[in-house]
Amino acid sequence: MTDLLVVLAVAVGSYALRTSFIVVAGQRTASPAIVAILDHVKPAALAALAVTAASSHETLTPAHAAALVVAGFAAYKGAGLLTALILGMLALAAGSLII
Amino acid sequence: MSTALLKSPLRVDPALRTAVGDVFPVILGVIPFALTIGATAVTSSVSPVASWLGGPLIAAGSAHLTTISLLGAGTSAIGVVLAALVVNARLAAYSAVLAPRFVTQPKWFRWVGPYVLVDQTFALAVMRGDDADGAFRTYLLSASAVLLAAWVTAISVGMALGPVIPESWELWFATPLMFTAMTIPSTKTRPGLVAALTGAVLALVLAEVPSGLGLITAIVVGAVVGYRASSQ
Repeated sequence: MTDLLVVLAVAVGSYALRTSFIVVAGQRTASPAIVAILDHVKPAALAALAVTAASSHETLTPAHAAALVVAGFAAYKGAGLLTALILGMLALAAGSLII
Repeated sequence: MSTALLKSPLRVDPALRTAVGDVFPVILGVIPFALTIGATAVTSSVSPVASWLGGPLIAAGSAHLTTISLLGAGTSAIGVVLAALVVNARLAAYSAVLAPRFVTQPKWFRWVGPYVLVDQTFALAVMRGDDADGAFRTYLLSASAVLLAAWVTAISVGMALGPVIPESWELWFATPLMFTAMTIPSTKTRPGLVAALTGAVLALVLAEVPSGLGLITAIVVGAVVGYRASSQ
């Protein structure tokens, strides 16, 4: 039940964020500084989430670190999400066999 | 538009056709993310129904995955909601940027149009900013509906496949890999890199802070530091 309520609360909150300025369009404008700060939420959030997700298990090995490097490098080289994900998982499997 | 076009029942609205064509590569890009969410959801301790409903209701991958991960890790309900909404705070920025495009639109569309406002639909909407009001409505609603349908389908497939995949594959690690691969493109500018590094380091340092507050602090401080770096 709690899980469902949490999902509903996140859904309602997300909808409020999406409609915030559009529904009141023309009546209010956002401060440019606030918009600029919100613009930087994405890299900060994704990186923080990557670290949080990686450290959520106690069994982190060098193979996991290698997998993160491989996926990150693939993304840096312009690979799509699917390619980066597959390469990362393959690196993890290979690393686990070797280490 | 000519009368012949209006009369032909098989004629597909050009805005609808363009939307479907534009959203197709977007769908290919988000499918692995949706599969990961589905697989993570079904292998965690979170209610499968609640996890699945996040697909059509939250309709945003990062916040959805954050919700499932933190719920599974035993974070308090308030902490999960706050963390997921901080992750989605950028949607308010998209709303602000798109607001002028909605001023001349009917009221119902202002309420319905932004429902699937995410990174990808924001980019598409900005791209079609010069369309006529009616064409813009058809375009955004079509692109959003097709994307949401594909998104929910892929999450369902992920939930079906999750239990079949052996534990030795360490499927849980797809989540950090996914977030890492998504972070990298936005670190190619200095402010993006500064924001990402600050967020990552603080998330690590504050990992033991309860109720997801460490994560929230990491994101907020990272965004502000990134902004400061961009204005220097």
